[in-house]
Amino acid sequence: MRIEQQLMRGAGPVAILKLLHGGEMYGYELIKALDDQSEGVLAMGQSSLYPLLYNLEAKGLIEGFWREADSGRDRKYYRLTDAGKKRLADDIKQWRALAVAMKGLGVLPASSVESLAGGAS
Amino acid sequence: MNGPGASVHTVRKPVHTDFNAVISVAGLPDPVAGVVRETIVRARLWRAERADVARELCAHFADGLSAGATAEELIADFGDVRRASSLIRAAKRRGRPVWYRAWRLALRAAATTVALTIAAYLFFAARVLVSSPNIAHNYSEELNARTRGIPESERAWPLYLEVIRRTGARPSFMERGQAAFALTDPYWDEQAAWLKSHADVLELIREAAARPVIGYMLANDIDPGLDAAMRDAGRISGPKVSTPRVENPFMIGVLLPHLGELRSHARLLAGDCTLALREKDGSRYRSNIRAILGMARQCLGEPFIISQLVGVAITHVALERVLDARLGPEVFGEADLRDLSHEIGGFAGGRMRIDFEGERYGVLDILQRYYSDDGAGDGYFIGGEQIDALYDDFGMARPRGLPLLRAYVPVQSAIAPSRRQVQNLLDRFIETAQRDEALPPWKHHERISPLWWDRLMESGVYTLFPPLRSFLGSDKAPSVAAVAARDMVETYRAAALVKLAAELHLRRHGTWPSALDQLIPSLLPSAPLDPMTGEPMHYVLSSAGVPVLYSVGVDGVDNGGAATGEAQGRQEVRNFNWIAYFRRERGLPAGALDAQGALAPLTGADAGRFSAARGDWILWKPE
Repeated sequence: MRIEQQLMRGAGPVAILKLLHGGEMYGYELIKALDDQSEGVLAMGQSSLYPLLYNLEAKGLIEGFWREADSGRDRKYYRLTDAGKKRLADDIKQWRALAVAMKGLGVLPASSVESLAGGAS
Repeated sequence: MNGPGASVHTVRKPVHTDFNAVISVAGLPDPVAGVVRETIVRARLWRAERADVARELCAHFADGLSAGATAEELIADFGDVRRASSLIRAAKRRGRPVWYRAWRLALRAAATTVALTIAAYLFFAARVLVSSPNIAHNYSEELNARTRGIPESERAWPLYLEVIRRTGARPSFMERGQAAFALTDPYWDEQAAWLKSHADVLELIREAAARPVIGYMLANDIDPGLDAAMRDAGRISGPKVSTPRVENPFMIGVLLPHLGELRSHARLLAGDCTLALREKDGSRYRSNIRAILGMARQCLGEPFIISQLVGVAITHVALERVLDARLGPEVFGEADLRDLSHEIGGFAGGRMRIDFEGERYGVLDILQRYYSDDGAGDGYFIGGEQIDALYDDFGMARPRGLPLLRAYVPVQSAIAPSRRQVQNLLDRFIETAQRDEALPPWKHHERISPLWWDRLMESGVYTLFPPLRSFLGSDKAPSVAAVAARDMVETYRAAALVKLAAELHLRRHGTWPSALDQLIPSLLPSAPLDPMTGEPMHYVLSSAGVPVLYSVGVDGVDNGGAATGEAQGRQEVRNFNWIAYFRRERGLPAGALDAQGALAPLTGADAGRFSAARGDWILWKPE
């Protein structure tokens, strides 16, 4: 299922920040992780991912750095900054509030919201 | 911690700064390399950014190929190159330094401003182009129509033209500016000879001066009659150099050459006064004074301030002759002195008036030519079309910069006050100026018209109509300048009347009066007032029994008739014009006035410059 562009504009950055919260990652790795972990729902083309990364970088939420991988190739990795961590925490709170509201409206099933409420940040 | 956008290079390999080199080194299949190259080129990034993004995209595609994807699959997954380039450009710009973003913002603001300015200019230019003035009035013709309504026998101008014809070449002493006509003048003999040989001309001047009006027809070119008379007199020759006559000329462009002629004639009659005194011809002396005042009356009857100023100046000529002359019994009987007194006292109804009718017409004329007309008294500035006409009316060559001037008209149209605003300001100025004109000189400080004049100038109207300032007659409020000149000459009139009354007293009693009261009311209707204070003018007898008539002057201090410093008696009253500004503190140095409005001690250059403000003004003191 493909997400509407407007929704994706809000969800994409949070998804990237969340993935990087788990550790440093490079572009191709992020694309694969988004695809796998969201079961394709949040999959995005490179034409969208790299501008998104550059935007987050411009805002100081992530920072990129070059490192040589085991294969001997250079890769640009990204990691969360302190500002990015704070922003991620804020965004998660908002998304949860949104989910609760959606549940109240019957848009989301109760079970999904309960699991969210108990999930790790 | 690194700032936004910073990349931490933990690798030590050489890094290419040329993105093409980066792509080549990556060894990607051509189609994939092409996508990377196109994306980078379209993104229009800085050199370092290009290399960095190229490295990252190359690494991305290399990872994809290593993971087993085909080049075609990776290209398809990449998505639209144009969109990617656009988004990358926008994102990278956001990450650029503050100075760059500030510069971009300033550039955008400047571009927006320029665009808005151009749009506004085009709007106002279009407004100017589609509008045209409604020249509904021919003001000079309206004034000429009044003149035509006066019988020719009452118009003096034809006689003044005949004076020019009969005079022939102007006397050389007048050309040289040596026309004081004083007995002590080294040129007196030459002047007297000329006056004697032109007795018929002088008689004709007196005849012309007795007529009610001048009757000069306003036009933008030289009056044909004047041109012909000057040629007959041999004063000019060759082809007529003149501006083509315009049916409805700019009021500010009409010529008033008759004023100069009348001033010359007045000087000749003043000279004949001196000659008449020498010849003990009191009757001719009086006729000359009456005629000089007649010319002054004719000028004062014209609606322009400049004409009225000439009228005031000509009156001054007559009064100076009276104040300076020795009116002894060998020339003047008591009846002569009484007649002279009545002549002077009754002149111009007892007080010369300055009015602004002509100035009002002049400004209305400017407005009808430079502004659109909405039919309800309002409009906006559209001057362009009229600029050419202005130069043509004045007979001036159009300047090279005229197109530039015309291009500026839409800007003027945007910033200029509306027709109604200008009209309202002018109405207030003229209304207050007319009211101020009636104030006596010691109440100069109560004048409010100069404030309206300043407002008018501040409205920007002067920048639209530079001739306006000169048209109204002065750099500063014309109401002040013209009225101050009038007040000065009225002070002379009062002094002349006292002198004549005192002379009569001397004849009857053998002594000068000891006080002005002795003259009132039989010889003088009332005591003249000091122009500086409004109190009765000061009169004392010196220790030698000689009368001194004086004003306390600007400093307001009664020095007993002593002119201190460089003050030289009546001479100093000629400074009335700037003295008139005194109460408004114009021209006087800071600190010149004390709390009571009196003049504080002056030092250095100021002491010389403003010496006239010190001491008393002696208006009359027999030789």
